[in-house]
Amino acid sequence: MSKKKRIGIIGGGISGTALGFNLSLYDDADVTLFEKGRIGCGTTAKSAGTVCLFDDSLNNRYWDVRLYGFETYLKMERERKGSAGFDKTGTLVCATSEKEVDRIKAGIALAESAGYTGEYITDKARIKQILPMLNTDTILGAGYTADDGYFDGTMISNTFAQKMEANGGTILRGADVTEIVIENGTAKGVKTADGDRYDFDVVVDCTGPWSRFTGEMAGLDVPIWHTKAEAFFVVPPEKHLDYVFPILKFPAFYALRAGNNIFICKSHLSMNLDDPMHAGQWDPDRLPEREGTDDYFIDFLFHQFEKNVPGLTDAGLNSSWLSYRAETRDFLPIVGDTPVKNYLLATGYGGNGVIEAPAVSRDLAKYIMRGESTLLLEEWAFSRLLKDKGE
Amino acid sequence: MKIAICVKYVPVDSKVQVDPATHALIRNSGAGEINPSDRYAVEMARRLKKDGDTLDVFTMGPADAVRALKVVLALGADHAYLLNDKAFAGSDTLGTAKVLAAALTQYGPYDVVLMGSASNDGATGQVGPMTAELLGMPDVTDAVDLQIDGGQAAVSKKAGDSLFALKTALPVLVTVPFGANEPELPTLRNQVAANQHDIIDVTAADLGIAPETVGQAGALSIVTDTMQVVQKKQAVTVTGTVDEMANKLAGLVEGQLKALQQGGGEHV
Repeated sequence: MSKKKRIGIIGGGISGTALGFNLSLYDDADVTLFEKGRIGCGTTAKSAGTVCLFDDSLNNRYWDVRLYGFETYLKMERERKGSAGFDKTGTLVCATSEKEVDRIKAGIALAESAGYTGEYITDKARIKQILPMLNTDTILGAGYTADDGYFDGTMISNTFAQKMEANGGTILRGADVTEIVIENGTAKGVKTADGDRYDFDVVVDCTGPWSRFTGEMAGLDVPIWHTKAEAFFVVPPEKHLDYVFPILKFPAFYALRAGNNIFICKSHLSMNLDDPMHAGQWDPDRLPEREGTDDYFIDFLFHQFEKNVPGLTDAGLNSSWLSYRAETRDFLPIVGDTPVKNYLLATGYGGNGVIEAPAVSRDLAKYIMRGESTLLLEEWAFSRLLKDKGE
Repeated sequence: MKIAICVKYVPVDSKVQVDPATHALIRNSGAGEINPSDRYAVEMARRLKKDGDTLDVFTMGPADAVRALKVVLALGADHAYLLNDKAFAGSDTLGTAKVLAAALTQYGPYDVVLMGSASNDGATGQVGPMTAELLGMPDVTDAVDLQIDGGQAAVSKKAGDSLFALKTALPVLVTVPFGANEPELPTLRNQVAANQHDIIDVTAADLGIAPETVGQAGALSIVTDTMQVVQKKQAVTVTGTVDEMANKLAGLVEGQLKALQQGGGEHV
């Protein structure tokens, strides 16, 4: 019997658990995942979990990534209802420019090619039927599908974790990795806070907003920034809506239902890494469980709603929380090899971890186990960011 | 009628740090929010306020405590006072009551003063009655309803499963427990407006308070230790067929009963 490949994964969020599950599908993989808290408890728990068939969160160039994620979660839901926390609300994507019209229409064509429904609507009365509180004067039209919705990142992470363990993988909960063991420029393992050492053939950093700190342990400058994801939960004036509030997407913000509340947030692609109000380098360990938001973001969202969704301006502000997204300069993740041999990354998903983790993990697991790369891994490789820096 | 509401800005989670020397919470070490029972006092104040009345909100705390004031402004307060001075830091309940009483005197007099019954961090329930004593006004704790009529306050006071109907002359200080009513939420529109509202900063000097009489220096009670609550409760997932789950549940209940009879037991 050949020796198994030992892989250590740091981080039990959506990134780490999805990778752990995909690696556990290989008979010759010996996978151990380290999570310092609980599975899916970090910034994954604060993800909105939207996986829309044709919004702007991920360029249509990577539409297959979106589809693979969506269908992975639908499959989970079929296997065990609730295991991905699916709320099938549909999505209304509003177009405020001709460029967006084209992008939405292309997305609808892609969705239809995969067997889903989608329509581009210019009839304003019809759009208001879907979302009565919308001001349709500010939009050219809207793409709509009833087929998608949002998922629960924590549920998904736990489902991946269960599957991984069922396949023989090991999860060490409450295990805080405090050292990456590097010998002759090669990652050899990790040490945890309790002093134990674990030897691996490959170590993968899946710590998202913590990656810069985890990377430092390997002597690596991981080029991610933290952008603020400040979410507010509001209660519409009607208290209980008599229609399904769809995921609402505008270029600058999005909204979705969360029980009887509406979750609102500035969109991740509208964040400016050079604006200190939007982005910086912070300590995710200091994120509060709730609150911690800035007046800036509620002011921003109010003005967006005043213009576009006046029905929410008199919504009651129930609660809020602050989270950090891990973003790269091009807002795409960093996946695969790094300058430190056998120290790999699957991080920098920004606001798209729930969308992208399944496809990335599928490809990365294959690369780790068989050495076969994919177009996706090549486009999202660490090396592209080194080129940006002129290295 | 002049109504005052006193609120506290409290930490939202367990990440708050504790000063190893004084054992007091370091109040600028994490995010905070308006104390939960104060929300119910604010709602009582809102319902009490009629046209022509004024509602002022006070908080003693660090600069971040303006966030609590802004929430109350969004809910209809007219003026907001931040009682913030290094001399106030480390105040015990009496020190806090002294500062509040001085502010309520300075910017009052008020006909009705409302507070939450207890904070969710200190949870002594002492500040309200102490403040009333210093102001020389009657107080009613744990009030779930308050009506003002003809210069008198009619108060429903919660005591266990009972309600006492009390009447008292004005001015009166009333504390309100968690769950007393259904608090209104600030709307986005009102919150955005409130975020631009002036906050009146008040120092010890403004109130004529000698620094040595409040804060750590003036504290008559001493916190000797602060301990983390050890959570023993553990959730157990019971799976299987209906019969299997029933058997497992029966086993768990029997196990608990046995352990309780022996004076121990896991918290499940």
